[in-house]
Amino acid sequence: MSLAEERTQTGDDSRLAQSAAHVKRNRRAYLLIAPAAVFLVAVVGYPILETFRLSLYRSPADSTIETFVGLQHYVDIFNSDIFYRLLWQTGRWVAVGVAGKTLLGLLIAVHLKGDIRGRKFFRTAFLIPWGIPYAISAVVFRWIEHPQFGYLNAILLKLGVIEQGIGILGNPDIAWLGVVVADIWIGTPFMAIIFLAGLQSIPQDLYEAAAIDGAERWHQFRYITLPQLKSVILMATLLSTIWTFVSFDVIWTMTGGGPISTTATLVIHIYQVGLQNGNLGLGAAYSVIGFLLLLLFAVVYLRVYTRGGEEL
Amino acid sequence: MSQVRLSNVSKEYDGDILAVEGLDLTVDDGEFVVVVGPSGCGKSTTLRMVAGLETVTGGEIAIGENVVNDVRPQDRNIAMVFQSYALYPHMTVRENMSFGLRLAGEGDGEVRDRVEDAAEMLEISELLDDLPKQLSGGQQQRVALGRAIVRDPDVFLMDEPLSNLDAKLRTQMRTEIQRIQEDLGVTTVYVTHDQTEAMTMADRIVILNDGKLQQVDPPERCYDEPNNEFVAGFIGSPSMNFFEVTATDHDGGVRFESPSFEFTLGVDIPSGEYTLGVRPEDLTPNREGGYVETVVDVVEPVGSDNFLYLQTARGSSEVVARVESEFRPTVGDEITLGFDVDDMHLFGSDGARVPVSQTQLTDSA
Repeated sequence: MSLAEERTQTGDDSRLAQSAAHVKRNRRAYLLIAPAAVFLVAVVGYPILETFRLSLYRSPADSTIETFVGLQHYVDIFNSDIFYRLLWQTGRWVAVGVAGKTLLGLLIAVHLKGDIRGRKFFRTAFLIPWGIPYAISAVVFRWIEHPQFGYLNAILLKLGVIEQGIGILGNPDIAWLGVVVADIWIGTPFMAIIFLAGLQSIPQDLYEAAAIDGAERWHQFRYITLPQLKSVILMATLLSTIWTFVSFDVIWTMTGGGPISTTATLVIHIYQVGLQNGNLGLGAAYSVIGFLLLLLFAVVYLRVYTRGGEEL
Repeated sequence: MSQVRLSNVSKEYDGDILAVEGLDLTVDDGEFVVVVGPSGCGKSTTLRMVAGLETVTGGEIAIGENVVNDVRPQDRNIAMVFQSYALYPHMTVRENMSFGLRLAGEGDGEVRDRVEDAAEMLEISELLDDLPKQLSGGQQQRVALGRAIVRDPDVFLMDEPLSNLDAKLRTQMRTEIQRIQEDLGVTTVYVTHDQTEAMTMADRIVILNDGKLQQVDPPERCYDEPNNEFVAGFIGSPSMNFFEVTATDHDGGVRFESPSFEFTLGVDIPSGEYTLGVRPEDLTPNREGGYVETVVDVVEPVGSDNFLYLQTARGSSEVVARVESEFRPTVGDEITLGFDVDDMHLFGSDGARVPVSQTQLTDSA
């Protein structure tokens, strides 16, 4: 054994010994997190691995026979127009939905923080949409947007904005907007509450110092509120992006992905392919792609926003 | 630079809490005025009203020629230093200092020059690119001052700017703030609860209690001739000793009687009930013909002097005396304390100062 090898070996040994000592010192802590870790592996880790495995097989749902097809599903997906249309529709759904929830949430939070009458009432009232089961909210919005009996058409007709009722959810060009509105209504309260908590942690004297420095309300928002709220906005939009990306019940209840699949997102398509059509392998392959897309997004997003070495 | 004038200014919260009551005060152009008083006396509220951060519920505040009651803080051309410094955490020192100038639309070159000049004046040039969290308390304090200076305001407002600093740094910054204020000659209103700051820094001290003005005078005058019992007790450390006394005419002078002592002094005041005050530093131990017999309770050496905490032999009143460091009695020693009639303060039953004129005693008591 050469001297270099020997040194490496002892280095490894001591590192190993150090880890062992570390585990031994913290044995109780490791024991305590063990049940949670086992649980996580069972309900998160295993399904992810199983989905990866399944995506490599042709696996009809009503059959016990699985045929290994390798990356064939992925090749098929990347060669199909449907995939790119789904990507566009999913991106549009997430971008408009998250932007809407963030902006409205911010607007509401800023006003709820102010010294307004009935502030406590409004704080509670604004949480209600979030507390209603999503499917029920979706049904309500389907009614509101109903071409003949819906409030929206009735109001627009009364105001003379339109001459005859429009079927928003039946129109392939605007149906997705009809669904996004419902999703924004449901998701805004969460953003507002998170932002409000963030706003309340900004010291009041920063605003006072800024006012004395000559900052108007807009300047204060731009130079104090936004930078101070940055990490909160970052986390909230990241969570909202993930939730909106995987959201299923609102779209499914309102349109079922139609008309002519214009409101379908990746998640709706996965359900249709995998569970309705029984093509588990292809559905799994779509799921894997969705999973990787979200992972990539999260990593890039956090990288970009924490570039300055700031910690969240 | 401007005069600041408060006329009959009041601040009422929620219709029943009176924080400031009928305050009249004029701060002259270039003057350094320190507003001092115990917690809750209305000093910070007063400052915040001048800043425009609190509304004025009665009276009038003017900066220069303009009544500013309804003028927003943005438009008052003032600068304020906060107790917490209130530095913008996400901005560098340079950005913090230039924020106001940029909002005012100053050009890049002008902003840079003024920030760098102020930084040099405060010896923080090398910190310009740091974030506030990278700075010590003292450095943050300098940045907060810098942010106020660069704006070239009409008035500086300072709200307990030194109370988060340690004792040594506080003394150092005290001198520095005075130097800067003198150099710039900007009208300054400085709020503190620390009477040492008030005594050492102010051209004039404004003493508030319960929202009411007690006295506005140069520091020495507040110390030598306090307007009332409150000022007498508030200014000076340790506090003035007070005794409730009954005064009666006696031998051409006045006989003072209390549970702890009785003596006759050659002064001329009407008979009646008074509070007699003597500062600890004006009490002389074992003086010939002393008046108050006491027993030593605690001896507290502070280096330059000794503080003696004593009990009167009769009546068990507490007395504090400040004596030379060479004089160090032991606990339980009996000491007779005396003082000059000049150093005696008398306050009437309403707490107001009663002028004392001396007379010749017909028969020495």
